Amino acid sequence: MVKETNKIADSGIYLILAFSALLCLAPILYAVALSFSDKAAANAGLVYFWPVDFTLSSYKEVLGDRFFFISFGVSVQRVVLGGIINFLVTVLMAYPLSKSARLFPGRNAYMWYMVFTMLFSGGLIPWYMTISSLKMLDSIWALVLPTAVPVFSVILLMNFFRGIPKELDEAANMDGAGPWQTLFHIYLPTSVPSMATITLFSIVGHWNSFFDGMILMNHKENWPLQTYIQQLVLSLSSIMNTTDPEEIKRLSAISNRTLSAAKVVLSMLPILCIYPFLQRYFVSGIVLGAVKE
Amino acid sequence: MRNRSFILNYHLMLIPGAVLLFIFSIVPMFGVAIAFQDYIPTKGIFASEWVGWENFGYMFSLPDSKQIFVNTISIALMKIAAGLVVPFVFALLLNEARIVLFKRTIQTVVYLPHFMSWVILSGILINMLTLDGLVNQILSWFGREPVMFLSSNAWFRPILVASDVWKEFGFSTIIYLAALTSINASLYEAASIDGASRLQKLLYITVPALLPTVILLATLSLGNVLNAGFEQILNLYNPLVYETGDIIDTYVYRTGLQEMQFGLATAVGLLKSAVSFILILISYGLAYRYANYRIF
Amino acid sequence: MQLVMAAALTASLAACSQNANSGNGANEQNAAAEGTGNTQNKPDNAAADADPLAPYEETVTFTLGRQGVAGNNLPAGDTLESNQFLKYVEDKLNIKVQYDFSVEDGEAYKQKVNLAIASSQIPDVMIVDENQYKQLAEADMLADLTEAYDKYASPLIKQYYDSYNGRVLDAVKRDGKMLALPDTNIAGNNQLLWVRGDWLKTLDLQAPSTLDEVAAVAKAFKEQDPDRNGAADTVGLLGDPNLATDGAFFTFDPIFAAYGAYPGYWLKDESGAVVNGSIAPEMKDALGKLREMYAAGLIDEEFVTRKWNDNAAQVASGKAGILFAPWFAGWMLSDSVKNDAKADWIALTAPLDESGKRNLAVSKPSGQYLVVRKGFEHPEAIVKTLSVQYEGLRLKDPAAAELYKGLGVSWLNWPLNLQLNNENTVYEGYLRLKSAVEAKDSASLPADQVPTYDSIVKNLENPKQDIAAYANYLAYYVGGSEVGSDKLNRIEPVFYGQTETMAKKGTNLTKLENETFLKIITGNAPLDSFDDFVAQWKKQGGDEITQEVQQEAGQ
Repeated sequence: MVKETNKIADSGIYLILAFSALLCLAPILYAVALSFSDKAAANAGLVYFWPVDFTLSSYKEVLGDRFFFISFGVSVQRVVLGGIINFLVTVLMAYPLSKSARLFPGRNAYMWYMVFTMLFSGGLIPWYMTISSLKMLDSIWALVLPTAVPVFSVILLMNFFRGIPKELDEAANMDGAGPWQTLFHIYLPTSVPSMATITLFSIVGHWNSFFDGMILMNHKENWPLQTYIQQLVLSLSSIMNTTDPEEIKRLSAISNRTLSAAKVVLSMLPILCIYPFLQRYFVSGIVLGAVKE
Repeated sequence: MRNRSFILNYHLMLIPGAVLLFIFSIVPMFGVAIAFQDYIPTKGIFASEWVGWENFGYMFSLPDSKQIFVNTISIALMKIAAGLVVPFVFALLLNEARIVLFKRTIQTVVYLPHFMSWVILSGILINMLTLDGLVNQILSWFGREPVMFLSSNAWFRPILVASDVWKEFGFSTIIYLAALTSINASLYEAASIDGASRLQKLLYITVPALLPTVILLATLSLGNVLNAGFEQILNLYNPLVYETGDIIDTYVYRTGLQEMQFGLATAVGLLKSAVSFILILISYGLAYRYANYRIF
Repeated sequence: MQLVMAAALTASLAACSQNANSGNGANEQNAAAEGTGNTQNKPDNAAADADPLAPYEETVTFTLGRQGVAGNNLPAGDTLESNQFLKYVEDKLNIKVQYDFSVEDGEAYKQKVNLAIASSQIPDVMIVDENQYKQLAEADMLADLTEAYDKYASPLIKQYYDSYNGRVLDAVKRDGKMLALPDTNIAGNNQLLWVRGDWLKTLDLQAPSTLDEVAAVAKAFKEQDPDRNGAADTVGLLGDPNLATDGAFFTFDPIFAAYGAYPGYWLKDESGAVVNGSIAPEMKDALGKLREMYAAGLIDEEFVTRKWNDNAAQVASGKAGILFAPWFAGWMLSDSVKNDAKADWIALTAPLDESGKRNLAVSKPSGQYLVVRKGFEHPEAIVKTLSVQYEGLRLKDPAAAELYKGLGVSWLNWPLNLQLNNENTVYEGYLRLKSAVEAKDSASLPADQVPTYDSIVKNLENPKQDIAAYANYLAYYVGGSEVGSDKLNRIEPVFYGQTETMAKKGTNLTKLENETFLKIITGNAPLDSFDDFVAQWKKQGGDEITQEVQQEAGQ
């Protein structure tokens, strides 16, 4: 009897879990289906989770879009450069901050300074004015330097470092290792899951952000991919301002559901590719850094 | 002596980050002065005329300002509540699954939406929610009238909450799953010997063991009461749902960047920053006092 | 309602034929300019003073911020920032253009300009909207262009502005100084009623002219399966959430006008007092009618969330067969032929009011402003660039015809995307085309109208075979003919500008108005909430603004 109810409960649980997982995939599948469907079928709303009148024409069209690839390149550049900067800054900050205030008297001042910048901001316009007066508009640095200090990641890694046994430190000191050696030869090798986690966060963060690209990049050639997609998919409403016959002509040619879907799918690809490799680390990475007993 | 050189090196390690924060966070903070000025670009922050609290007065005289605070808080609270409950339940269910491969697969899939941007997700959502979109087509199988989800004040908030939960619930289970692994297995064994049913074990062992985590997360989310999700709403809303969906961040963005009411926009933003700051301090204080949890 | 400018000019539209030999005119003009007052001394560039179209000796460079070109169709290798048009200007004038920023989306461009203004770091030249112009002028960031315009504007440019009898230029003068070169909003951008003629025939209906007839056609299109495909997949009248915008696509301006309501315009009532059209009692009647139509399903149910391209897609896929749009909608409408070879659009001046007139508030004369940064050394270089650009653009210089010949490259790739033309150019152009088509001879046409003539003839011979030719035919010939309709009854607003309180509170009022009207139409609020709206509107600054307008209009 008990076994019987257990079986029913089990199948119920498995069903719910499987359904939730499908629900998570549904929008992505829908975008994929749209991107491989014929334009007419998509406009008529005939597409569900499987392509209708399968065609590669949308992808072929993307191939001809120079700006898609340019902004793809900008995004890659940004992820690599920004990822490296984030990584270095995070590691260098997390290590001294993981020391107790007794060992490192300035520690709490730095901590408060950092948290204050995380919690309080001067607003968009002063922020823009600062970057603009540094002559960084339209430069890749504007996308990577203002976000160079990922405070959340620093805290995560700092908490992880705190969990590393003090004895390791002391042993290293005995052998004459200074802070730099200890950090790079002892702390880093033991923190792979946390490193992977903060790297994934910084890659995803850089890849996904559109707002700074929109505000700080003055030329289309310098847009990261998400900015390009945001402008393309979501704000073709601009036609209201360009009631010019020729404009209308061109714009009616580029408004296209399946093409947008193809671009959306392509822009998800890099994340989908790196995600499985880093996924096995980040669960332990987050947990060790966030939940402390 | 040795110790002193260590400390010097610690400072050296922190300096690059501290300098970057100074340039890109501290310097712009002087811009909050605009909130107290009749800001004229050519004069700049130093020469524009000071008007005291005038911008704040004007803000409160606008019927919109009450609306956006109400919207922000209610959307954020709904998101916080749903964002605590759904992952909690999901983690419990996942914990009951015995087949490891199945569990792994489910985890991999449900974490995924967290890594997609709102730009992408909004693009897909808008496509799904139009009159001839996927959702309405499914509704029509059940003989339901199509609904204009994104222009309906009744539906807009539920959509915001649902899509936010959809994006984040999987990822949020991670912390619960971690707490679950720390439950002592001998508790379950003892309960089994006493003849406890599966449900009883769930209710009397698992849930109580997770409660501190739930309470801790709830406390920490107090700081997010004024963050209702800028990127999500910016990419999904339209004028018809301003009434239920316009939040502080979108309002600041519109008044500041599109309508050039710099003083008003900065004042609203400053008020938000200040209130959030206080809330976060309170929540961290509570967490430290009652859960002995220290985030930094 | 936001007054988006709708100056619809194209490179292929002709300037007045009287100006055909502008070369001589230019020389006379220069001689005069030289004789009168050449006080400005520029020793290193003395030669440039002699002739507006003469080159500088030393290269002059200006930085530019402007809206980009969505879906640009330049040949590979060329870009907005480096192309033959720019080269042409450089060769003629020794002026180099350096792009500071350009984005394609209108909202995004507006933000870029706002940020540049906020941080007080503007490029030498920008094209801005009225609100931005006002801000810039008040912040004293703009150069005085009066002298530069007097001396260096070509006769062609002056002729365009003069066709408005000073209405355009006077509007930008502040204390007698010209702080901007405005664009010119040509007449004829009013919405026409475009209807699928083939559907009318299928359903055996007459072309509608009153509002009730329009509603009846919308009903029939929605309910009687006009495409005969056996599925209820057609919609009624298309709409746009902006509801009323001069020169826009899909907005309901003509319906409001049929009731004598002109939302957003400042008009004089019978007593001579200034009122805003949005709160006039006629507005309530019109909203009531729209509400009734929406409830009956005669208006596209989802119009509130439609973006322009959604509506265009409905037209292209043959779901929609009745809509309001200006004459140049031909480009968008022609797409429906791809899907359905029988698709045939007609343009009507409708709906008419009880006295048989199609009422129409006269457009604001301009909405875009070319401004030059104060402190920029050569403001005249901008005027010269504009002059040379239009000599090329309108093919006054035959050599310019060779640039991207036959490629249909957008004129927006010229450096200054400021639209200028004679006020009545659309209808005058149509009349010229008509007589040329009837005479089967294009000799009488100005050079820049010949390609249009060719495509119209092509389409008349082989209807709808060449989509581009059909589009030209729909726009310039079908739409163009209605622009001069004798049923039009023009109402002159008393004020177009912006007052101080308007700048501060106008956007909130517009928001209130748009939200309320949308709710009334879609049935989410009772019709009587219009009365609350009027009270709210007055209280939240509307009364103040009305007073200011009364004062300014009285001057």
